[in-house]
Amino acid sequence: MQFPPISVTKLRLKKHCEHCRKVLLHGDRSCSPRVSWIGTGSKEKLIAPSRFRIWDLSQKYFFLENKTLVAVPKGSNSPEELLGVVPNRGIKDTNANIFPIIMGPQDGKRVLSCAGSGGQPQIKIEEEDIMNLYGKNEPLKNFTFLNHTGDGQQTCSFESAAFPGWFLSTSTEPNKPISLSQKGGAEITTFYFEKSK
Amino acid sequence: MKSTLEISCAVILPFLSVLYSEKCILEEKSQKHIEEGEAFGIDCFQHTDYSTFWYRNGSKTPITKPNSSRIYQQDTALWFLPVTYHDSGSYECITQDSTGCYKKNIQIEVFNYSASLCFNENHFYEQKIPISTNEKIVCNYNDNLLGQEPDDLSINWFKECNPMRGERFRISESELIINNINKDDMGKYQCKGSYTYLRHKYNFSRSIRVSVLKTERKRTEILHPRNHTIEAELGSNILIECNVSYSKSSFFSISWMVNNTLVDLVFKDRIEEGFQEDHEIEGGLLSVVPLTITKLQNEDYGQRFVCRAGQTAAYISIHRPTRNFTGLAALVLLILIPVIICLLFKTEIVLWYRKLCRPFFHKKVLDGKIYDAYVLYPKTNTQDCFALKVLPDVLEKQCGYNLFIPGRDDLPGKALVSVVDEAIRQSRRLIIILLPELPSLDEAAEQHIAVYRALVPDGIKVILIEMAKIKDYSHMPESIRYIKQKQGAIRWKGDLTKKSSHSANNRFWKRVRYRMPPEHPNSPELPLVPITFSACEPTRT
Repeated sequence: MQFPPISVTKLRLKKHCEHCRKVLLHGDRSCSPRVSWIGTGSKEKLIAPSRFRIWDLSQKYFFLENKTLVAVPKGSNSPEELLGVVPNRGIKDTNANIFPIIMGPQDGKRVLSCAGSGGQPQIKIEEEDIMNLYGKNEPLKNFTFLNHTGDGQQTCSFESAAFPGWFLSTSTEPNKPISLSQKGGAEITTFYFEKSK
Repeated sequence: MKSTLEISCAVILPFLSVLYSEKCILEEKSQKHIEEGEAFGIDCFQHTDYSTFWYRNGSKTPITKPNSSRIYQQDTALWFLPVTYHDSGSYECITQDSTGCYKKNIQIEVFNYSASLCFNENHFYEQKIPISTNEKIVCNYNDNLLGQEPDDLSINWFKECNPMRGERFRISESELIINNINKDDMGKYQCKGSYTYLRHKYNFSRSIRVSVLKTERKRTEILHPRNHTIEAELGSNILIECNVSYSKSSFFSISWMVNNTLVDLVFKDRIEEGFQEDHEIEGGLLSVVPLTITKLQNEDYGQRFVCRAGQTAAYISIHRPTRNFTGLAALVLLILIPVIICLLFKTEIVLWYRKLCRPFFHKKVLDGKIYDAYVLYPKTNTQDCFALKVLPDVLEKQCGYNLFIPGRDDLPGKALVSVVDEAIRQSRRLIIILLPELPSLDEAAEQHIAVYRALVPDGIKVILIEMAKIKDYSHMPESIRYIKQKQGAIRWKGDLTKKSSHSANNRFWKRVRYRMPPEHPNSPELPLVPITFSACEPTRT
């Protein structure tokens, strides 16, 4: 794909705005939104969440099955479930390798949350548009995962912001719902996370 | 009693549920593909404490066969041990709890797949691995066993029909571990094997298409800006792009900042970050985030606008434009270069111009003079040769000048003084040939007259020719010294015996011709006249 030349040119504000209007109208995915993580109270810039493909170390992909996200080996005929991802601007990132994010299946029409009182916290899917949460500018810890990633790493893991030490996980067994686990157990807490254009 | 109750429940409940099934909420529809001969289990809704019933193809009778049957229900799951081609079809499970009745529809397709084939193009798994030192692909042999672990598992791996061998590959239970992954590891894989479940042996095969993520992980790099400065006028509008290339698995924001704060917060609307655009590039993504500055203000000069992409950052700053001197320099050069060329090649240019315009000159310049030059030379053997032979050869024969050479053109019997005076007055130039040694006394009178004519106001122009390098002019008459100082001299460097020295186009003669008046239009074209020079002897003494 051809990309614009690296240049400093005179302002072409009108053209730029036209492009963004087009994005708003047609939801052009090539114009994925600006993402800003730092600072609070900034005005809303995001139009739609970024879309990420996620699969675990055992080659299981996420599928929404009966309001539950399950990790399933991906068959040639099965549709692809991409996760909508937005930054949580209510939490300041203190570490350069950790990004607070909110994730939601069905392009963010629903969101993942972590819930539980004592014992093992659970993953729930809330009927909430991810963009509503993005606009709230609150800590929203139950909805937030800390994406642990490094520039040199191929994989990443997702720690619950509400339950430190608990990570998004899949069972070694196929077709099981995703859950939260502590590292070191049998569950898989390491994922491949790939941005889909 | 207890067994009677169980039997009556088993009979009554299904019928009750059938009555409800029409009103049940269809919670889910799914499809299952399975190869004939495998152990196959499907589950209804998990974690339900209430009764679950399985039906086939809309049958009103639930499948409630005992465990010894090939098809039977255990808890909420339906098992086919093994599944056959004829089991293909639509199945429905119904479960009831306190909130209502739910049903799930599952379409089962049993395919007969010949074990001799290498890859099942219709039903395969897709797996994706990055290029790295160590990754694994998985044989999902147990994806229809509902979490039950079979015994005596054995798996063989194939790629493009060939058994997998080599040190890079290692089988660990259901996984194939590949070391040092490269692009060639993508392709069509198959795992085949068998296991024992409930004392029966079952065969299985799975086709897997493996793709290798295009290139190794791309390092995050800010392509623009590159910690540099640009120049812009006060009040101008500027668009700066931050271009970042990174791996698809990276996750970070790209923002424009000033003093560690988002520009949008610092400058309100005047300086604003635009929307990010992503483009797919070789091995990753390229994102472009524009920064627009409207009406550049004084405070913006020297400010560092930082584009931050995760841990990486780069800045750009704006400077006042420096006055542009290049235009002026170019103009000066444009004038200087022709001037220098003119100075360096003035002789050539003047001669070329004279040659070019020769047809337009009048035949004679109407100044009343007869000779183009009077030649004053020391009367020695060698100078006789130069003055009487070479000089007229070149200037008269080749260039068409008319010279007065004493000793050749003066009439015998005439008084020397009057002849000299007359001839010089009739000449346009005075050629004085100088030798390093003193001129002889008998020439002193002639020289005095000639130099006098040269020095009087509007007098004759002099061409000094040194026949050899004259280091010291102190012994020369003051008049000669004056002329030398005023207009310099032309030094003869040639060899009188050489033919090239007799060409009007050599450097010496060009300089002489330059100082001479314009050549006559009737003079022959250069060089035409054959020159005899053998009589001359070398001038150098």
